[in-house]
Amino acid sequence: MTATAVGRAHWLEADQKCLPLHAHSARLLNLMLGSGLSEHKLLRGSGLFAEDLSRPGLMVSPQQVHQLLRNARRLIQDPELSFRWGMGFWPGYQGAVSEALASASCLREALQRLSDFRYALSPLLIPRITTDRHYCYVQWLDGFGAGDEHAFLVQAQMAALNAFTQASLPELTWRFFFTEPVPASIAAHQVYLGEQLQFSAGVDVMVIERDWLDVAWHSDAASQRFTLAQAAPAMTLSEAIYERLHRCLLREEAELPGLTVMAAELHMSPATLKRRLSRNGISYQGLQDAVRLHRSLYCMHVQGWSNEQIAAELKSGGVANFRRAFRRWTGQTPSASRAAVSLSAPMPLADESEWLAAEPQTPPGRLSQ
Amino acid sequence: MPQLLILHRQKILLISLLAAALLLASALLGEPKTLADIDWIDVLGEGGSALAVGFWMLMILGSRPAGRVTNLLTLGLGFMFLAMWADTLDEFFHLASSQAWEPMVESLAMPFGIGVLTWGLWHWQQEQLAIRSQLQKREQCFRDHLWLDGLKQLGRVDQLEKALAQSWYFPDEVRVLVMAELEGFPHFERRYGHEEGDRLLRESAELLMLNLRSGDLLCRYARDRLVISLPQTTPAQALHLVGQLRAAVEHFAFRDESTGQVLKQNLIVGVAVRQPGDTPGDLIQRANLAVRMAASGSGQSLAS
Repeated sequence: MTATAVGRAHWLEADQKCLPLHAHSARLLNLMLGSGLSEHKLLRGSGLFAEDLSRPGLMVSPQQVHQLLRNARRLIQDPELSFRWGMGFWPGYQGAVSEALASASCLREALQRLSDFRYALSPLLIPRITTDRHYCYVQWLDGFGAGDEHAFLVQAQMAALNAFTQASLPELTWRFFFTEPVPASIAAHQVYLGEQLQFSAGVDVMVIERDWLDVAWHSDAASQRFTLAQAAPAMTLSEAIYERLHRCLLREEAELPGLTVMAAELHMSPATLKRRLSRNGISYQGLQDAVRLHRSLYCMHVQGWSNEQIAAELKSGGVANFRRAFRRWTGQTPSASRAAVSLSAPMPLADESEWLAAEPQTPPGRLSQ
Repeated sequence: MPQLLILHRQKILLISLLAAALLLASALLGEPKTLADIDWIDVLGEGGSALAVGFWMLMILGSRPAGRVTNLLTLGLGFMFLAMWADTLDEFFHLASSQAWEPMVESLAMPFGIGVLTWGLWHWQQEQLAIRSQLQKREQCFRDHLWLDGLKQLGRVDQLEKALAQSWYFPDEVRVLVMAELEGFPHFERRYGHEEGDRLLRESAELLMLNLRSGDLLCRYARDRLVISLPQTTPAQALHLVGQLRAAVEHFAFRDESTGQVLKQNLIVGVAVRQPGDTPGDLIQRANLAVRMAASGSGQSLAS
């Protein structure tokens, strides 16, 4: 990693008003109002008022949206609310961006557009889309420290992608992995997402066989008018702070850099970096752990590596240390995790997973095959 | 409320006439007290109570159909009102001690009114119990259906599991479980929006309930998936019943509110047969499997 790769660009932070209310949050409010609760209650603590809702072009911060989600979960204890919210995300009513998504002719194209226009399509969770020889993975990373609202957001976002792809090609069946523990009732997960669900997996990821990427599907013929240039402004937003750091850490093949090293790369003092991270509900240690965990899960479940191999890969100082760390990250032992997850038989994969869309700023239309 | 009050014109007239008669009797037979003699605190207390009881009576009349229970509640409250009314008039008119009827009205009307009211409340409770058992089937589906009726969310699948667990050890009681969903519901919701989706669900569930037997229990699983427990039913009987449910939905004319066009619906149904060693959860999951099989097949399936 070089300093130029990181640059000194601005990052989006959780308290910046960077999200148009009417893109996603308004639909949630709409669903909540349907339950007969007053606007005043639903908006409590979010810094929004009933009269704001009718203001066109109103921008809100991720923190405000998190507060709305908190209110939603507390006031409406409906296990389906997140899924119902997510069902209506895509293609949505966001002009050229929605048209871009709707006019995708196969899963690969749709995922590419999702990646290109993710600031408009999935502003709170970052989709990280990768493929290897057998599977395509869509991992959802928390961009702004949603905390307790994380599971709700993941449910909504997964329901969104699942509903969108199934509407285009009903045969598409994803497998779903959640960090959340098994809920009291899995009825909503089952009906909205399907039967292939795995909880306490340590990662929020949707997996599908790679063969589906290029199967032609029914796309919305009416929206073929769209040109990529029209949607381009949606891509000019900056990355979220989490996204930026996560991307830096992913590039590191060897040992992950410490906070001081990372701060130097980003041209700031360790104290500043720490402060900015904590303002966004992120800890640097947690970020490093997440990267290690995701790497070990991939090695374990997809590549079928042994604990010894993974421990060596992560340079975690021996198998016992790895086992202990894994348990701390996921709440279960590596063997329990192996028993729970069945991503088919272990496959001898030597090559690292390849990015479907390598850089967030990749010009639309360019696909790594 | 006003329309319902018309139903009870006679009762209201009777109580008003009696109240007027008491006023008249007191005015004719007694002497008006001087202003200085009137204890205004008593007037306020007794008069206020009388007015409150009268108001209760009107509220009950305004919310109930005509019938025995209503008559009893009205008469009970009516006599209590009259007793308090007489008490209030007492404050304005001085009656000679020879006029024994006045204390009689006060001391008899009150216990009589309370007795009748109690009798009426007892009947009212019986009525509520009967209505509840009648509504139970409907209620179990809708009580917790948050966005349909705005009530608090309770366990939904839990509730069915509880019902199954209660009768689980009588094997004839629980032999089958049915899961049903509407064909193409996600597509419908996408096209017509979630409000229309909710309306379709609500109306379809009502329709299904009309076609179920009294002991059957209909609950919501999630989204459009409904789960129906059929006690004391063999798989063959269940399939027959399921055929009727599907036919009912097929003939259901759900209309697009804006165009009036009929949007045809089809019900997909899976029937799960209980196996030895099953838990309620196993049976529910088998029913889930059955409905998925039905969705990819002929619209109806039996998993055993």
